[in-house]
Amino acid sequence: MLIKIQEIIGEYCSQRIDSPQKKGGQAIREMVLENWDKGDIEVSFEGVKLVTPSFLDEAFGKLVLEHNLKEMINKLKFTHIGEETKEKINRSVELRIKQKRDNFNPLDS
Amino acid sequence: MELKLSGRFGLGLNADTKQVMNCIKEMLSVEHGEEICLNFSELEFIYPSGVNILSAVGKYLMAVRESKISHIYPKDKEVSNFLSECGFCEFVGVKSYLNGKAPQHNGTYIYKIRRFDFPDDYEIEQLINIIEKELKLSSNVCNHIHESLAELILNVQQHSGSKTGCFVLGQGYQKTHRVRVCISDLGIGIKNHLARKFNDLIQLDSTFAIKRALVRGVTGTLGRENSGVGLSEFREFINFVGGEFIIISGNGFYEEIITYSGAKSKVVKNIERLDFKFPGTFIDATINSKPGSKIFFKSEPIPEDYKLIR
Repeated sequence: MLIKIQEIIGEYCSQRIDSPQKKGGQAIREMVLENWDKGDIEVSFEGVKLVTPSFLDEAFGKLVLEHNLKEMINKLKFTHIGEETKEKINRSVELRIKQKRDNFNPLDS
Repeated sequence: MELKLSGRFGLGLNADTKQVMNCIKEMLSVEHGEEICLNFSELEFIYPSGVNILSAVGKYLMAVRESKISHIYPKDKEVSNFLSECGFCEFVGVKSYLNGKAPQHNGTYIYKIRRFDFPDDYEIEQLINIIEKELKLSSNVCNHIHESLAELILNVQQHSGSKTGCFVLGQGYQKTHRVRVCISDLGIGIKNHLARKFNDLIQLDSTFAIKRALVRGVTGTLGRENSGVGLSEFREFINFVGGEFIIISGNGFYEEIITYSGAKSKVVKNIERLDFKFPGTFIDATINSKPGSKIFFKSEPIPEDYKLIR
């Protein structure tokens, strides 16, 4: 399955949660989860001009709460993605894994 | 009440921060229904931060205490041009100083003060146009500025509980390669947001809450809804490129100035407890935007076994 972020959200991907005016990262996460058992999922960032850490956390970071990282690596393929967006997704995933595994308290680190 | 503004009114380096704090304190002491006259006649210079904070507090007092805002004209032409061009006059409902004349840019580009009620693509694009096209920045720097600002605006909308949205005002300085953006809201403030989760903050002043909000992963949202990246991400970004940021929330004042000499950075912090409470949160950021700058993440590297994309 191919998820084209620009077609679903638009060029500016800022919101975490869907609102009446615009969809957010929530819509992408829900779409990924709905199609989880239907084969590989390609997520394309083609045409996306702006993407916030909150959007990425909601769309991909939170998937860690549903599936383990190994499953996510096998399932998801990211295309047309810049280095900075990659870094942001990885940081979000790192934080979410720590939260899930250790009851992570950021003030202790 | 008449408030006489003088000198260089604004926050941060080269500005008279104390005067702004005193002015806001005075404004917030106004009686219900009392008129506030802002006397700009002796003002020599006004920064975007000065305009934004006056506008936010003015709007707050107009709504909560039914105050009326009036003003005495500035003698200085550049001050009057800026007050008109940045939208202050129409924002607080006073007559523009420009009288239909074209404004003078003086090598800077202004993103007029406006209210964001929700993340609006058109508004974000306007902000991007000012930053990207007018200042001719490298796309690397631009992307970071856009994303950081969008994240901050989103944070305000999500966490502040502000019924009046947030107010954004920006200015780009082409010659000195800087972008200055101020964001204010009249919501519950950082302390009240974080205290939902961190009870110890209730007894402390707002400086503790601001410092805590700057730690990656700290959020006041209960459960695991949010990840707490907004302010920390923004702070990291300014640390990468150099600049300055000020946060005022409740009775807390937090300033961080980051200067670079080659690859070495120097950070100066100024943290103060105010003797009044700002009714919401105000953020003033000055971002170095030198063309061709490369931004690298200097945070701790992510261990391979935490990486989704390798």
